Amino acid sequence: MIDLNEIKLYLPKYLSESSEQDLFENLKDFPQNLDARMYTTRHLDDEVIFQGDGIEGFLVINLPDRTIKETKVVVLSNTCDIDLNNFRLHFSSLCYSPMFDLGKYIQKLEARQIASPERIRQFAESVRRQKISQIFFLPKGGKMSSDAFIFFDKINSCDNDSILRQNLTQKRLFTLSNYGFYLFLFKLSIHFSRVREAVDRD
Amino acid sequence: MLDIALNISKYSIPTTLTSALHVAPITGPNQIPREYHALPYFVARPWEEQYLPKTLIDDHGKLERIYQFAVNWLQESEDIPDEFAKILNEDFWEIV
Repeated sequence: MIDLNEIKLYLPKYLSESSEQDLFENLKDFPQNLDARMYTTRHLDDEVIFQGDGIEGFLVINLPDRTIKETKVVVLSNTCDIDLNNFRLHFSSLCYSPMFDLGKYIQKLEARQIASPERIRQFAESVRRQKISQIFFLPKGGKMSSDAFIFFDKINSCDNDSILRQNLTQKRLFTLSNYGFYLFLFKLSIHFSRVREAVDRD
Repeated sequence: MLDIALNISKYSIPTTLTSALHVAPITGPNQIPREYHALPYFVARPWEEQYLPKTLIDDHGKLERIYQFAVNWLQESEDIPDEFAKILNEDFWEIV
């Protein structure tokens, strides 16, 4: 049985009372509230890259294809790890995943007739309701005019210093709200840390 | 607080806390590790609420909400079909 004091370790500790109330209300309403409530405008002008930020202009590669292009991405690295104000003996790289346009993806699936229209429609609905474990859905909002998503397993990284913080205001598409960030971390954690390996390593 | 002090012999704290906690018969999805099923589920009976700090009750309610949120999510989760993922790799630069 878990000690009563230990339970508090699993609850957010840095939120104001009203923010915490909002977070739990949003968790209660999930998945009916996968919309612009996932974003906040409070930190758009901060010269800090927050975990889960959507930013445009990052270099992306999809190996073994050697093409490299600038595109929109979502930052996967922990905010503290990539904060330039935190002195570290080891300079962290910044990890991110490219953003895909959900509308374009669905059009591709339909054009290729990869499945019945009904199955494709169901798949799109599963993406929008965050059911697909490899995908994090990003509803239109912030500076995004259409729905998007990322794959947790399409990760790129770059030198943390190479991303200029001074022009983040122009390049940042969104910052996740407390609720959006909770969903993001929850899904990211399950993707990488779930105990379903089914391998006896010893 | 005075109320607690007056009733401390009648409702000792350990007894109250023990009776207020039990392991819920939660039927979660198979993919949840077994130990998660043993999370204590807090039930405060009306007569107990006055002897337990409000913050303790609130924290249990929040933890229960997070737990139910996680269970519901995991029960609904599914993998992307292989053929769907293949298209994304093939048309990667047209979809970003």
